Amino acid sequence: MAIVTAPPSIRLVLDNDVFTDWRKYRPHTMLEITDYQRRFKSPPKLASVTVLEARWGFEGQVVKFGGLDPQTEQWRLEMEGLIQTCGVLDFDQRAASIAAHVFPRLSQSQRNRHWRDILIAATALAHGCGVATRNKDDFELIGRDLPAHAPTLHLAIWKP
Amino acid sequence: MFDTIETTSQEMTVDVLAGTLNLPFPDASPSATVEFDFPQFDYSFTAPLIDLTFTPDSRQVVVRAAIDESVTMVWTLSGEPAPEGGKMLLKDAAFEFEMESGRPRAEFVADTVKALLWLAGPIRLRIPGVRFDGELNFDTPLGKSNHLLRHRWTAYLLMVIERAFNCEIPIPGEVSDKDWLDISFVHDAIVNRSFIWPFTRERLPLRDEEQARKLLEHGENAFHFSLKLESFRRRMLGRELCLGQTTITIEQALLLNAAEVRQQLECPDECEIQAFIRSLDGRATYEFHDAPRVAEMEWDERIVEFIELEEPLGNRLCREFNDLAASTLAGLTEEQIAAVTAPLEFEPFPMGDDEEEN
Repeated sequence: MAIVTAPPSIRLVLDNDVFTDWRKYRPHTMLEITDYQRRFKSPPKLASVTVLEARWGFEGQVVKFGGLDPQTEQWRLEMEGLIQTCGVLDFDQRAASIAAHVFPRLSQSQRNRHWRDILIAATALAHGCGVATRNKDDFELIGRDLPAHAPTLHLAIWKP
Repeated sequence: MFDTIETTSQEMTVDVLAGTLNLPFPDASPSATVEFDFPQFDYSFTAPLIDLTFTPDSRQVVVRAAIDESVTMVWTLSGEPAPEGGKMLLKDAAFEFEMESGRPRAEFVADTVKALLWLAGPIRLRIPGVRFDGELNFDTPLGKSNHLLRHRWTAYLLMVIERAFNCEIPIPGEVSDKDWLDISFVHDAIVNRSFIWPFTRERLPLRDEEQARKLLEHGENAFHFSLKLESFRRRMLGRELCLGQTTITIEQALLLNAAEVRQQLECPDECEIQAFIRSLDGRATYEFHDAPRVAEMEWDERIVEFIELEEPLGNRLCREFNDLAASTLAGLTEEQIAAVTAPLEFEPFPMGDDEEEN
């Protein structure tokens, strides 16, 4: 049993899909965030790989168009503010050990499909957190191959 | 003797929406009060005016108000003469607290007033005794407000814990995530008495040899584990607190040190037998049978009012969080949103002949 439903007392890291839902003002995500904030007095954390992906979205635009127009630059700054407000968990040595254990136990297609989920799950586990996600299946696959010494991966499924 | 805590900072800006001070400044009566009104929260409170000093040269008024038994709020109001004369127009305002730094009650009160100023929209500040009336709006970065609300609630939890244990526990300037979890655990033990808490693996003292033998019978299989401890202790902010008789229940436990337990049974010594237990579902249920309690209605009216502000303050902060998240995509077309939220597509593990389905 490497994956279980997160109890209300466990801190969470946002999966990229939930982070995007939040940015898209999805009502169910805002309700979950509000409930979480009430319990922990702080928003859920972000994994550094989520920051990579959030910034990549804007940097991709910079490369494509040679820069950001003032309005898009403002959106980018808002996103940086959001990232700073949530707080970012580092992909540290412990996370690296967990991820290194999982990667070779998946097929190459699974690795390519789930590399970011693995990094998020490893980051969450290394920091004693669970993951808030829309896609339980992705993480069940990872949970199957977690090292024996790793803590149980707690999942909170945030979807409509 | 109080420490002075500077609460204004360069990160916070105050917008003076309106405000006049009538001149010449009358002497405030001894019974004068300062009124704080937060229309958006439909909330107001008053505080006795301690003193008020007008310095004509610098056109500054310094107002000191007793917010609580050990919290004094100091307002510095600056202005310039009105063209029509006879009054001063308010141009700037700043505040700070003189308080017993580190004391949970003082910190909770000061944090609540700050949180109201930062989150409750425009504030109307009035001193009827001297005919002062001003409207102010504070603009504070969201991260600071979040930090403030968490610090405020930590102070409240420590107030509860202090009452329950009849001791003084200073609140640290910085509350780490670990501190927060430790404080929450102890508070929940006092108030909720039973809850589920994350549990990965821990060493737990066994009751007796019989219990140890029963654990060994499970081998490598998961089992239901329940342990009643006569005196459960929890560390919090560098001190150990006794939460009394406690039952810990793990639905799917694994014994990780069977060999060690077996050896202790074969060669008993004075030491208690400790089981190294893992919870497969990452949680345990804690029941506290005689943890200290806090009687209901133990707080005075001011504190009760401030505790009840937790929900509106939290809701306002959450609204700002959600608005900030939405602002990162607001106004973008669907196409632009798709572009800036697109998953990072690359294949760090190139497909090749060695592809194997594990």
